[in-house]
Amino acid sequence: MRIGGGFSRLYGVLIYVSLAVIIIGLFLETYLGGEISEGLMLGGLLIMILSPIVGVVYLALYYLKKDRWALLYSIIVLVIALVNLLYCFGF
Amino acid sequence: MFKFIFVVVLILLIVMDFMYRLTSIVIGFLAGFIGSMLGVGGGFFIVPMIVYFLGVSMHLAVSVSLMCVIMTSLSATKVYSSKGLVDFKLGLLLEIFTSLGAITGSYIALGVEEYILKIVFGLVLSYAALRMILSRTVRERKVKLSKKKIALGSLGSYFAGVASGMLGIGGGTLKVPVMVLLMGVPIRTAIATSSFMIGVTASSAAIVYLSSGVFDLVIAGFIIVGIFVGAQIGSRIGLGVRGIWLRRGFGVLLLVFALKMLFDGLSVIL
Repeated sequence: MRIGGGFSRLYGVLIYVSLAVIIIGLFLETYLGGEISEGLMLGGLLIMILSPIVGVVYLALYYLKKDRWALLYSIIVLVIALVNLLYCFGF
Repeated sequence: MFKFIFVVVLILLIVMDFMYRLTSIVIGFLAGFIGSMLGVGGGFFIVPMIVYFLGVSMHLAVSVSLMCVIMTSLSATKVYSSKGLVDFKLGLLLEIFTSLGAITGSYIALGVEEYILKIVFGLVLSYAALRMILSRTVRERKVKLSKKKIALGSLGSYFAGVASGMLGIGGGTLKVPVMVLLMGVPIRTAIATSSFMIGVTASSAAIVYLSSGVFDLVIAGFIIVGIFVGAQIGSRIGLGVRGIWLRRGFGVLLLVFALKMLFDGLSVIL
């Protein structure tokens, strides 16, 4: 399978999952309100925000034995993202 | 009489709320449609639109915009990668510098006054608008990337990242010209690769805003729904359309917003 095909499918799944969670959250927010709806919307947003990072993990795994330079680039991008994530949430 | 007024006010509130949500979805649709077609995140469109039409603060607009830019990127990359147009290796290399720039930019933005953000945004937006109005079709050509081109591209990508984190844009308005003009990457590959990169860049910056508590779930949610639909349509149309007049027309619209924002920012100082 070409890298584009698998990557496209992965993004497709992530998009639909995050979108479904956000839409359920919005629906509940409109008609019921409360913490559950906020939690769902936040969860959906988090899935969406972290999706590009999941994409880079996929690329790192894809390039593992194929291209060491591309693997190095993806690992550096992941390290930057991880350090940023840990720093922002106070670890 | 009192009951009648109460019911009328209640109906008006519901209608106003409906319009507010409908406006959010329409803004999202247009941003997703135009952004995915031109290989940009659409943040330069979302930020002024929600500042002026939804009346939110500049900091909140930047934060919401970053979250929305990620959805544009995901939707457009899904389509472009299935066609084999994304140069992932180049994207990952440039993304190292762009992510560092995005984190720097978001910390700068959280520490400066709103009017400064408006002035900087107005200037960057003016540049993007003029580039869109004056751009000509670039001929597709394959070139080998030399060390000098990679160094130039990396530097340009860092500043695109700073702009992204600071202004809530995907940075595609800067990344595409960096790849095309400085590195000689074919325009379609540049647009597709930029679509992939803006998601990773915006993700780094959005995490900074999310952890700072500067975001609005409802506005972001409705805009994201609109973006998803707009980006799906825009990226498919973008594969077959040259769209030079669309680019120029949109450039004029952007220039109007840019000047408005620039004058708003300058009016605080003058």
